[in-house]
Amino acid sequence: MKRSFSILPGFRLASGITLFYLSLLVLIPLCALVWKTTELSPGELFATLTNGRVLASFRVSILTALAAAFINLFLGFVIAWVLVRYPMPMKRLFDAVIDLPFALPTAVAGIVLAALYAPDGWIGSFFTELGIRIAYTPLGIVVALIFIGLPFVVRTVEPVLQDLDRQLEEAAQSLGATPWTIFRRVLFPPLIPALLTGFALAFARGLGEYGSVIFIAGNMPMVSEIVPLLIITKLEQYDYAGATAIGLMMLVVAFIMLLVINMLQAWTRKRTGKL
Amino acid sequence: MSIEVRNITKAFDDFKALDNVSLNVDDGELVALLGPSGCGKTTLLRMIAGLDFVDDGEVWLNGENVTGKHIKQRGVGFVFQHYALFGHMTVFENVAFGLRVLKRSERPSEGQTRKRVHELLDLVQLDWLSKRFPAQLSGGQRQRVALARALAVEPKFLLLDEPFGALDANVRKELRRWLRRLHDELHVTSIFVTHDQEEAMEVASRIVVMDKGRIEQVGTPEAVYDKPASPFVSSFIGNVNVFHGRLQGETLDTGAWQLPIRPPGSDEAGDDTPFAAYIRPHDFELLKTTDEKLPGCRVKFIQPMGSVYRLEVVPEHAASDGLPNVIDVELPRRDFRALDLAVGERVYLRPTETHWFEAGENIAPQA
Repeated sequence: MKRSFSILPGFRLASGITLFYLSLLVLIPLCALVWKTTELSPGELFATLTNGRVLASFRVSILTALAAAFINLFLGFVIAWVLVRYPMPMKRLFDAVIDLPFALPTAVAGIVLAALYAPDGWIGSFFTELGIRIAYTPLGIVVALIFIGLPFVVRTVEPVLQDLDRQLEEAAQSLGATPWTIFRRVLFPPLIPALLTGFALAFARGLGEYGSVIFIAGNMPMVSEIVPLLIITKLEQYDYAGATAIGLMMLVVAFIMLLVINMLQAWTRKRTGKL
Repeated sequence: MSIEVRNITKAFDDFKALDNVSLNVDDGELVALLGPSGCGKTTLLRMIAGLDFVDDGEVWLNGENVTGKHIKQRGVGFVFQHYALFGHMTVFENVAFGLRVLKRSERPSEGQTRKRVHELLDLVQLDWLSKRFPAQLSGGQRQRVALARALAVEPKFLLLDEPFGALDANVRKELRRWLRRLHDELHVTSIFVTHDQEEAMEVASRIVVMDKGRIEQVGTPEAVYDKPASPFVSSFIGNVNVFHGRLQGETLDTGAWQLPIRPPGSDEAGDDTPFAAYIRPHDFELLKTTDEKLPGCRVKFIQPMGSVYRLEVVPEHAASDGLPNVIDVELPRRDFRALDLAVGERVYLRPTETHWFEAGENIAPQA
């Protein structure tokens, strides 16, 4: 057998640590989750998951997370574009501000957003005049999730955008392409994998977000109640098995959606000749 | 399809990249812009292309003033040093790009586009790779794709920015000849930038030698090599040994040495006029014995280079300001064999050809 030497030493050690860590931090808790769910009989499990309130909360969680991720995809892209491509006063300051949602305790963000977007808040009162209620509706949830998810898209797209060769544009110009064509056909396609990654991260974060949402959501069952809140509620009622069942379902949903996004990404990579 | 540059000046902040540069390129020529890095050659090329704009001066293409015009309106094809291929498109789509972005009324049909792209890929001998992505090609192949892409829009002028700069030596050599042949076939007025004098000599019909934002000399490869207009050109195009001295009768007195040469047409120049003699390594005759008053040297080092032998010889007398410490000499293999030289032997040098320059301020004062 041929032995190939890698540049970094300690491959075995490193992969051992990786496996150990993944098991300890991810796999074992997940197994416990599954195991706990088996306390319920199949009938009870089915009943728990098809409960109207549970289904409604899933709908709210998935739809708001999707909506927020889509908006972040667009906004994050624009912000990354501006930060990379245009000279701007206090660029570094703006750049640092992007990361604030990462650092801020989510509850603080939630309270601030709730106060701002409440019907009598600074921003909310403006929308109230237009007849739009933001806080205490699913719209409020979307606002909170936009706030939370924005850095993911910006931070994944920014470095790729920075690495784009200026000469690609010049080459396209010399071949007679208009600015819009250059953007659409030359600059945008290489960014798609990064955009998908940012979208997936923002979506995943949105699906599991709790702290910032509960203050602004209003938490009305069937309307603006998110899955994580429902799980907490179940726990407070000492319905541990029910809570884990919902948790497991959530996990399955998240896994499937991330898998789809990952496959989409693999497909775009393959299409662009990157293996 | 001529290119004319009139008194172009361009500065980047405090750095003067181009200083009042004028240049004419005739229809169908293949011209090299040659110079060390930072001499302004790429800047000049980008001005002609319309990728950068002049501070002062004019660019005329085919008798039309295009100074303020965008690259799209100039009808130039541009090839970049690092290819600038579109990584997410196949080779075929890269070449087709220029056709596909044409206005609807001018755009060829899909069938015509296919035909044209395959013709071009045939021309660069890469049709078999049309479905690959740029990342799957070698550097030489990528640059040929880039060339095919530039040619797809039928440019009136082809501008190449160090097209072979990122390739390794063998591929460079091959592509140079190939570019030369391609140009003979297409006759597109072309300018390419290079810092490699050998490349410029081999490919170009005329060479523009640049230094510090100015054009030093324009001429055929032969002219710039044999009749350099300035000390810079002489030393940049090929190797050279520099001797500083003052005229003394029929010799150039370098202090410790008297070289038995005198610049042509210098009859009026009296004794003590300072001159610099630039002598190429292959412009020496080596003698083992002599009756003439020739400077003597010792052979310090012999390096067989294949067809020639490279020798380092050291002047016998104490080093003086006007003499190089080591003189490079190149001998054809046959001459070297006939002389049968060994390291440490005494030889006499007779210059056969010399480039003369009047000693300027940059030349070291005579002791």
